[in-house]
Amino acid sequence: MSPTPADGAAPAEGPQPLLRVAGLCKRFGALKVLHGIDLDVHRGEVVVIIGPSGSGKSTLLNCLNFLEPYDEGEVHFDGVLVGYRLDDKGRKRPMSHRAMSELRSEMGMVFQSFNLFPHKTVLQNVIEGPRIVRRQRRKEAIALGQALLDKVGIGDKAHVYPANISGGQQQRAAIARALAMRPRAMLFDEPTSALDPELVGEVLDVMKTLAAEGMTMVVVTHEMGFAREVADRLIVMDHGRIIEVGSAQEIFASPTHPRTAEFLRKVL
Amino acid sequence: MRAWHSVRRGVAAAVIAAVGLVSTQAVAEDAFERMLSEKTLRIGWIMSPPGSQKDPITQELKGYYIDIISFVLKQVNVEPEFIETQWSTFVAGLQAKQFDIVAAGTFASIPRAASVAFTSPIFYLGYDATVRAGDDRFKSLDDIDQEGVTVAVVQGTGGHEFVKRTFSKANIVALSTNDLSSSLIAVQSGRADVAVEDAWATRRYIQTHPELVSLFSNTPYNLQPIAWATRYEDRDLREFLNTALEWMRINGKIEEFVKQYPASGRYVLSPTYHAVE
Amino acid sequence: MYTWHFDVPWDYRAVFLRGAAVTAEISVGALIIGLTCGLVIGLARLSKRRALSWPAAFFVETFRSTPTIVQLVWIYYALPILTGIQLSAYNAVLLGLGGHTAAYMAEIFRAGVNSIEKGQMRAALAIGMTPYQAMRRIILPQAVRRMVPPFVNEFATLVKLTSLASVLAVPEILHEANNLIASTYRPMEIYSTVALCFALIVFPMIYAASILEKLWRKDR
Repeated sequence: MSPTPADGAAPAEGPQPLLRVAGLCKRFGALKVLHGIDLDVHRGEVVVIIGPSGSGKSTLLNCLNFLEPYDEGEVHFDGVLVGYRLDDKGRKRPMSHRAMSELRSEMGMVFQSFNLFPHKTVLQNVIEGPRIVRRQRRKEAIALGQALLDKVGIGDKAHVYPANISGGQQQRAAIARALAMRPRAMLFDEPTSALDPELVGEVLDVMKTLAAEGMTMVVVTHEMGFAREVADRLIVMDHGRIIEVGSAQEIFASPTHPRTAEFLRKVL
Repeated sequence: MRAWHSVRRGVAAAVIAAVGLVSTQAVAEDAFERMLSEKTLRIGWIMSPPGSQKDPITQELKGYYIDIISFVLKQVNVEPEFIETQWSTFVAGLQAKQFDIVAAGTFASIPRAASVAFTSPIFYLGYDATVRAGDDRFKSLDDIDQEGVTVAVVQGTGGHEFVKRTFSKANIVALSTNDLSSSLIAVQSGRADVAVEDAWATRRYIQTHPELVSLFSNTPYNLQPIAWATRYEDRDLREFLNTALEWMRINGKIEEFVKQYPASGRYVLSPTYHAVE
Repeated sequence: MYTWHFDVPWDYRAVFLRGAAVTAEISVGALIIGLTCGLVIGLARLSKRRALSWPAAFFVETFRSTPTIVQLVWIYYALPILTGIQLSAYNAVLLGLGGHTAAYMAEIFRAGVNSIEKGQMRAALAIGMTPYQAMRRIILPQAVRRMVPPFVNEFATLVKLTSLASVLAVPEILHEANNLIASTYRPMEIYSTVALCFALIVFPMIYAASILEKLWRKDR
C-alpha cells in the first residue's frame, strides 16, 4: 500500500493522514444522515467523536471501513480509496470482495454489542481472523492470541465460551480479536454503552493502554472522562455534521457552538 | 420499460416453445407403429381382482385382462410393459402418454368415450346395490332415490356416472380411491346407506362380509359394455386390438381365460353361426 | 358388531415391509434433493441480486402455495403434455416431493440465517473475512443448530407426504395397503396397520430430534 496521494487530495503540509474523509454523505432512503463530513486522522492520533444520539457518529464510523456503504464523497485509508475502485473513465465501481477484506483487516473494529462468535471459545474468536484471513499457522496464531488475551487481562478465559464470561470480559476479548489482525487503526463504536457501570473501567483501561502505545484510534463514546483524558482531538457531531473540533479541554471549558453547550450540559 | 419489454419477450418465447412442443407431439407416430418397431407396448392396469391383480406377496400380475392382452401381444412378438394406474386417473395417464392402452374392466360409457376411444366390448357387466343386513327399506331404485338416503360410489367409476344420471334426491358421496370395495366399507361403517358398485366387486365383497347384503344380485341393472381404453389418435392400434379381440371372442379364447377365475356375473352376446351354401 | 381380523395384515406383513422400504427410499431420495437444492435456493433467496433472489422466491412460493398432491399429479400427467418430458411415476414423486422439500428447506435455511444477529456478519467482515467466508465459518454453523428442529419436523412431514405417491400408483405403504384391501377385503385392519407403520417410522425421528436439541442447548 503506497502512500501516494489520490487525485490531488494530499494535504498541503505535514505527513499524509492515515484516514482522510472528504465530503462524505450518507442516506438511508430519503433520510440524509451525513451531510458532507471532512475529517483527517493522523498516525498515532486518538480522535474521539461525541454528540447526541442520532447525530450520525456511528454511521460515520461504519463508513470508515465500509460496513456502511457511503453515497458521496470519499474515504481514503493510507491513500487507498475505501469501498470503491475507479475505472478507466474515473467512475466509481464497487471494490472487489478480496480488496475490501484486505482493507478491513487493517482497521480493527470494536462494537457496542461485542459481537463475539458464540459458537467459538474466546481463543478461537481471537485466532479466527489470523487463521482464516491471514492464513497464519495454527501454532503462531495461538501464541499471538494467548499473548493478546493476557494483555487485555483475560488469559485465563481462553477456552471459555463467550456466554460464560462477563460483558466487560467479552468486550476485552473483542478488542483482542481486533488486535490479532495487527491493525493500523482501531475503530471503537460506543464500546462501553452496553456494559454495567462497574465493568466500564476495565474496558477503558485497555483502550488507554492502546492509546499510550501509539495506536491510531477513532472512538465514538459517551464517556466524557475518557475523552478528556485520552483524546488528542475531540469532534462534536450534530444532525449529520461536525459542529466543533478541538482539544477536549478547550471544548469542555468553552464550547463555541450553542448545540455543543446544550449537549455538554446534559452529559457532564 | 426496457425490463418490461424483455419480460414480455421472454414470456412470448416460452409460449412459442410450449406450443411448438405440443404441436410436435400432435404429429407423433401412431402407438401401433411404435409398438411394432420397439417390440413393447405400455399397458395401464388397475388393481381390481379378479380381472387384473397383483399377488400381494409374490407381486406377480394375473387376472383375465392381463391374460388376454398378454396373449394378443404374444402373437405378434411384442413384450407387454405393465404400468399401474387408477380408476380416477387412467384417462389422464392415457392422455399424458404414460401408457398407450388401459387393459382393465372399464365400462365403455358415453361420457368416457368423449375423452378416450374404446375397443369393441369384451363382455357386459351390470351394477348391484348393497345395504346393511336387516335394512329392508329398499326394494327398487326409486326407494333408494329419496331425501335422507346416502349413496356411496367410487369417484370416476362407471357407477359414479350411473348414480349421477339416475338419482336426483339421494345424497351422493363420491369416494376418491382406487378401491372398489370402499363404497361397501362406507355402508358397513354406517357412513352411507347404499353402495353402488359393479355386480362383480359387490359379489366378491359380500361373500366375506355377511353383515352386508346385495339388493339386485340376480338381476343386475344397467348392463354396460366393458372395453379397453385407447387414445383416439391411435387408430391403427385400436384397429389391431379390435381384430384380435374379435378373433378371441369367436374362438372362445376370452371365455377360456375368464373361466379360470371365480364366477363373475358377466353377460356376453352370443352370435349365432350358420353354414352358408 | 364388527369382528377384527388382525391375522390378515400379519399374514401379509411382507407387503407392509416392502411398502415401508419404498416409503423410506422415497423419503431419503426426496430429502437429499430437498437439502441440496434447498440450501442453494435458500442462499439465492438471501442474495441481494434480483437475478438470483427472484427465481428462488418464485420457486419457493409456487411449491408453498399449491397442494402437494396437485404437484405430483401435475408433474406426472401435465408435464409430459407441455414439455414432452416423460417421467416414471416413481421419478415424478421424487421430483415433486424433492421440490416440495427444497422449497420448505430453503425457507428454513433463510429463516435460520436471518435469525443470526446482524452483528455477527459485521464482526466477521470487520476482521477481514469475505462475505463467503463469513457465511461458511460464522453464520451457517450457528444457523444450522437453529434449523434442526424445523428440519426434522419437515422430514417427518415428508415421510407422511410420501403416502400421496399412492395416487400415482407408486407402491409405498399406503398403495400396497390399498391393493391388499382390494384382494383381502379387510380395510379396517389394514388401514390401522398403515397408521401403525407410519408412527413407527416417524416417532423415533421426532424423539431423536428432541434429544439432539437438548444436547445442543446444554452445550452452549
